[in-house]
Amino acid sequence: MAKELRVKIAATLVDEAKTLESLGQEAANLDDDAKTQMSKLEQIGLGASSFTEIISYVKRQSGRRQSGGNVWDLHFSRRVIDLVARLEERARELAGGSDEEVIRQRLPAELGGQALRHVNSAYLFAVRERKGS
Amino acid sequence: MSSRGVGVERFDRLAREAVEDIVSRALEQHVSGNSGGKAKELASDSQLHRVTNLLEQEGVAELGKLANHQKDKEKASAPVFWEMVSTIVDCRESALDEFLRVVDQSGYTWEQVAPRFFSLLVTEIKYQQSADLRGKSRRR
Repeated sequence: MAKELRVKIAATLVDEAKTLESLGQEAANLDDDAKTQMSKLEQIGLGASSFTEIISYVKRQSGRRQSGGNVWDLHFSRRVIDLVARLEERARELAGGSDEEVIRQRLPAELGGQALRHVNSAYLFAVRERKGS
Repeated sequence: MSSRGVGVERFDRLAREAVEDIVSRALEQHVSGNSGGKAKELASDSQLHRVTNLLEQEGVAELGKLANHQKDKEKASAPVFWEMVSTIVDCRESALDEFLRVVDQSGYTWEQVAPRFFSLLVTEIKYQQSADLRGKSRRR
């Protein structure tokens, strides 16, 4: 991947930093025992071959009648979906509007996955802070 | 359809947009035609499960037969849902046009991509139904 693109990806993540942080905190407010689910979300992102894969995963978790945990609250799910949709749009801009380039540069994982990694980090930190040392 | 490879981003994005549009409209139609209120949901888990299983095991043609049978049945449950499935299977849904054009260009067939499309559709129905139900319970 070209250095210029890496810089733009990093800049996008910085632009979203407050959102990523607040999503981690919101998840911790909802459920401070959801490490497995948050880790799974990160894994899905880092392995995603399309942004839809990530959105679809969030919708599946949120749409389950008996969700795997409290973290998949509707408000939280919608915020994650909105974030990923924004990143998808940004990825297309970075790729010059080409869907093929989005895939070739692995932008779903590089942008979506890295963003969710930050969310998970913020979640883990928020949980740790809450529980004290 | 493989979920990997060139074009998957576009496939998935167009499919997702079509699915969101179709399910939103179907839910509105379901709610407005259901003021007396028999079925609470557009489709039950077992109906969604049946669609997924039939598609995986028998293919899209058999799913079309089932949908036509169900929607024509007197007092059929989930008439809006089965009409929606039938319309999609027969490619009569205009929201599918762009998606199908790209599928066609890529050399895939509708039969090949239908499982992926219906997987997204089932996820979307569960998500929107769940959001709708949770919204209602919060309003109460």
